[in-house]
Amino acid sequence: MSNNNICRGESLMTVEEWLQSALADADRRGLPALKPILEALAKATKALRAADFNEDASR
Amino acid sequence: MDTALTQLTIEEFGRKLRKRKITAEQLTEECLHRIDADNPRLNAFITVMADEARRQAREADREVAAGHDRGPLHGVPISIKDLIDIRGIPTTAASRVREGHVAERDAPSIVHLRQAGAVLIGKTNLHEFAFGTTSEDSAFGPARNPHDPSRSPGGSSGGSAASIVAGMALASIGSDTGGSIRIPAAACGTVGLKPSHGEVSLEGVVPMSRTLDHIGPLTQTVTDAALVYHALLGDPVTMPPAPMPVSGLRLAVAREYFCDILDVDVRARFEASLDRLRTAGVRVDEIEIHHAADIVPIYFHISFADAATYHAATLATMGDRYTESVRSRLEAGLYIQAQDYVRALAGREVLRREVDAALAQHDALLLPTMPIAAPPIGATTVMVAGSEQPVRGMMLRLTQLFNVTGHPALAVPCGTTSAGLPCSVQLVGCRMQTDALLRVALACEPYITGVPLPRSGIGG
Repeated sequence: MSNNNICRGESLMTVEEWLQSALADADRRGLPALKPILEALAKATKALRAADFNEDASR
Repeated sequence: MDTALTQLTIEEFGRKLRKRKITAEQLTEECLHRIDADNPRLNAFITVMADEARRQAREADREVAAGHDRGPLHGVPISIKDLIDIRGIPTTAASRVREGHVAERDAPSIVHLRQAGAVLIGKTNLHEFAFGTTSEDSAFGPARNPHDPSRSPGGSSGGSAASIVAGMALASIGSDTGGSIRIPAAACGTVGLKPSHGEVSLEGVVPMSRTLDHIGPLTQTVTDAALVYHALLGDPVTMPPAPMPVSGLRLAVAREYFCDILDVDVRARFEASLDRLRTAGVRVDEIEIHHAADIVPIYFHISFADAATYHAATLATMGDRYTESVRSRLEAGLYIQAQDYVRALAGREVLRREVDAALAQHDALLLPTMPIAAPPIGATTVMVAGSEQPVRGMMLRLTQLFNVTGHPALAVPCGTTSAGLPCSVQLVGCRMQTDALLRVALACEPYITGVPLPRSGIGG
């Protein structure tokens, strides 16, 4: 990501964007069996990021 | 051949050996006979160390005759999960990735077993690289459940559990990262102990997730588990620990999450065990693990990232040598982001404190080991009390928490389903107090199984 993008305040990659990127990579590598596992992983990552034990620098 | 010999417990064999009613060579020969007869059907072993086992058994008998008694494991045939190095023998991890590998030295746990006089009878089949719960994805074909060979023996230490039930060994050493000792113990009806994290050396053991890996024994009884556990530590005891008095024991049961989804028969056997324990004077309280819903995401991120990192080089250079299912899951782990791994480690500390708190006022936690009985080989989903559930998730559901937190946990058989498949309960103790857990388990075992045990006593 270029410094210009950061300065304009564009958000970092969401889990959904990460998943789409990972699925595209799995396609590129010819590994379709990876896709349902990546989807399960994305669901787990969302749950992990939403957990109440995550620290927050503003608090 | 006397097949009843192979159903002896370690304790029973020790008494007969020291009364000269049996020799280590006789017992080893009987185990080898059982392997010859049944391994083609059950596929419990990858490597059978027949000549070496016979040599070790004869040496054990010579030593006993000369008055050199190494302790309770002297002359006992033990199988070893093919993840643990034995000098001069391949450690295949059930994978073509390790074709040509031969271990250069014994793992320290193996050194301790040799010092204790154990007879190492062979290397057992497993789920490839311990990365699964069914032992069906193996370069050597699936291991099978002796109770019903169309079903999984559980995993990943499936061959280990099968080898005991089939009379091929009196005990086995397995590994446990999410439940891989306790799940096959539950599926096959044996005892399985995951000690506290860090107690038993993992040197010379192919890792699945270094953060969560443990090794420990599978045996027929809790007494035997205690004896093998101490031998693994290099601290062979001549007597198992004394059971705690059962009346007055305080056990805690977590209903929410841990008893939400249970097969009808598994639930019935669990509740029957609880009733017998209460009748015996055990106090049973209900507790809650508040972050139980976060167990799966935490386990997923830690175990997959750890495993994928270990396999990164071979996935890139020889990915086609893995079984497809294991390869896919390892590859997925490479996509986990560092920030989420760190989050998972933080969640691990939260769960650890919650289990510590639950144990603060209790001698042990009690819960089912596995929500289902052994699933059919090849099944990806299973019906549980009317709802369709994923097999792998179900098998891991009740065990993986204690890999995340590092608490010692022990699976004990508690009867069977109406179809005759084993059910199991799990006792969990305080961290680094595995002996205390074993003492609780010794007290509870007759009430959990519903079968009175003969009086214990080595050398009696």
